[in-house]
Amino acid sequence: MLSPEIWNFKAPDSLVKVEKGNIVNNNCFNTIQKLHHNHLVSVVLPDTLRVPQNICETLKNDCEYYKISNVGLDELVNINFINAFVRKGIFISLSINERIDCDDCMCITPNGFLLLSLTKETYESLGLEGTPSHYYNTKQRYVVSINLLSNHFKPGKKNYDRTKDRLLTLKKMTLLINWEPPHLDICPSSVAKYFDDLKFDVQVCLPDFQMRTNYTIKVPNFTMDNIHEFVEWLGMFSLESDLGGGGESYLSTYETPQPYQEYGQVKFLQWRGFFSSQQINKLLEVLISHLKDEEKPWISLYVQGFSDVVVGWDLQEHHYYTNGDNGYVIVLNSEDYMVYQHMCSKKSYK
Amino acid sequence: MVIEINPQQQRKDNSLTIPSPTFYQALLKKIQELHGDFGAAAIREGFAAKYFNERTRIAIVRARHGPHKLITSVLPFVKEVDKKKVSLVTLYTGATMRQCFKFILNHQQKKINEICSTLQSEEEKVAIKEALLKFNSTQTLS
Amino acid sequence: MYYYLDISFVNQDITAALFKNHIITSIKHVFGEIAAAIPFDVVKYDPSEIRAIVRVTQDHYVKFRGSLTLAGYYQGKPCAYIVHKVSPLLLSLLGDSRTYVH
Repeated sequence: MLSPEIWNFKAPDSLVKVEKGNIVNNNCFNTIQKLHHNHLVSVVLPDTLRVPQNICETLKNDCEYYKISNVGLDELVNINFINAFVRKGIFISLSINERIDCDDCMCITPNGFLLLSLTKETYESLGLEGTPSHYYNTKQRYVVSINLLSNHFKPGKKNYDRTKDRLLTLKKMTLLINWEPPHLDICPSSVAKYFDDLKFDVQVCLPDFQMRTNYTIKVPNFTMDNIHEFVEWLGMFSLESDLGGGGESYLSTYETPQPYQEYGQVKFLQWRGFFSSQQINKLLEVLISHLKDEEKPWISLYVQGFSDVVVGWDLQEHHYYTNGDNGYVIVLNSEDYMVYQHMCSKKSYK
Repeated sequence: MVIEINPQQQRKDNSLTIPSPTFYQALLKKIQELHGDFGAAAIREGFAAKYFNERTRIAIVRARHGPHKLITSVLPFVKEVDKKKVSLVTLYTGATMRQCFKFILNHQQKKINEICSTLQSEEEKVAIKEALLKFNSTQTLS
Repeated sequence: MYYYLDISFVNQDITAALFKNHIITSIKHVFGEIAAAIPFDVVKYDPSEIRAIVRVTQDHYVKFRGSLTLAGYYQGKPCAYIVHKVSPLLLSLLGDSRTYVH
């Protein structure tokens, strides 16, 4: 080892996991279930003239989520709220406009945990029990976990009263909430009504949908051996960048991986907003059934999580270094699927 | 970390006078050119062009372990020192002064043998040996 | 393996070729001629915002980003690069949840 190091500077690590299997086993749904707070979904459909209505609609209908400004976190441990929403259906929530590397963040996971990622100063003045963050050796950040569904977590119990009392002191945050009711006959907007009755500023948000068609595109064939190039191509296509016209270029040396096929129309669909894993699940089901109806070389689905959510994959702690991305790409063809999982590195900072 | 360089003169006269600071500047300039601001800053700590023997044309360069790689990488590109055209050859890279002096001693001994084979009289051989091993070649041989 | 950077240039409007050239110049300034030979691609360039997506191999990412940070002047005028997002997965540059307005 050289000291001081002068030449070999390693880029920050990131983890990539590639998994393949057969669609019939339904294993591809497992990955989706592991990431709960999803921000961006995009789909690439090669060789498609008309996108079936049901694909576009899947993440548009009944996918409203709500933005509530300036909520004190003590509202979220209110027992009426827990009984009405967290206990029933699937409730997820996260704070926005807070950065996980420098501010205090909050999220609620589908299994009923309220998680706070706090800076040292906030943690020490808050006075609730937590654990030091895995990523900071210097104990600059703490994670506080509150189980909202615990049987002992109700008014009159010491722990409940104290938690509620302490959360009152915490700064007010802007939250996104997404609630899936337990029965179809309950309107998902009742959670919005609950907060509206408490005189909070509630805003309904619709996912932002975009669709684009590109003509005469070279599309690489999908095989397992060139998976990295294939995923890179998906990125190049999705970002509408130069796909390599051949010949030497000063700007870029990128070329579409061989072998490729040229298709007249390639569709690109993108949704942005706040999606639960159940909603993504539905989309994947629709895509699989679409594949069965029509002959397609492949279909790809990309899902990106939020950068500033307290937990990422498998409810493990999340952090932000060069980026805070957790995401996955699923490529399907008529029989097989491939999952390309991209995770933040688990290395802690020095 | 000590590195030895052998500047080989283009013209075939034996001695070469280059002041240490000029040599130092020449190296630094080249590193600035090839490794940029970063390289120049990286080597400057503990950097020294220490010693120059005119007769055998040997210099010692000291650098920290790490940045020495930058120096060894630019040495072949140094073409001009003190407005004289030179080419540099790394003879030895060692981690202690002692190892380097050991090497120089062996090296000088070889040089002496080379020179001696061209000389006739015993006295001249002794004089050369004295001159080279004492590192004050200019006095004795001029 | 590559790293992808979403960067924009703060100075004046320049063409894609000049943009790439300026990055090479700043690498050369900071890390010298040897590092100026590192290959990188301007994958996408948007002249209206002077914003580009650049791809660089993982081994050179640290130096590349270092020289972007230290780039100070373009034709004598102060300039700067803003790094919007960096990721080893190109698709993740599609959107940033931090800047999205809900």
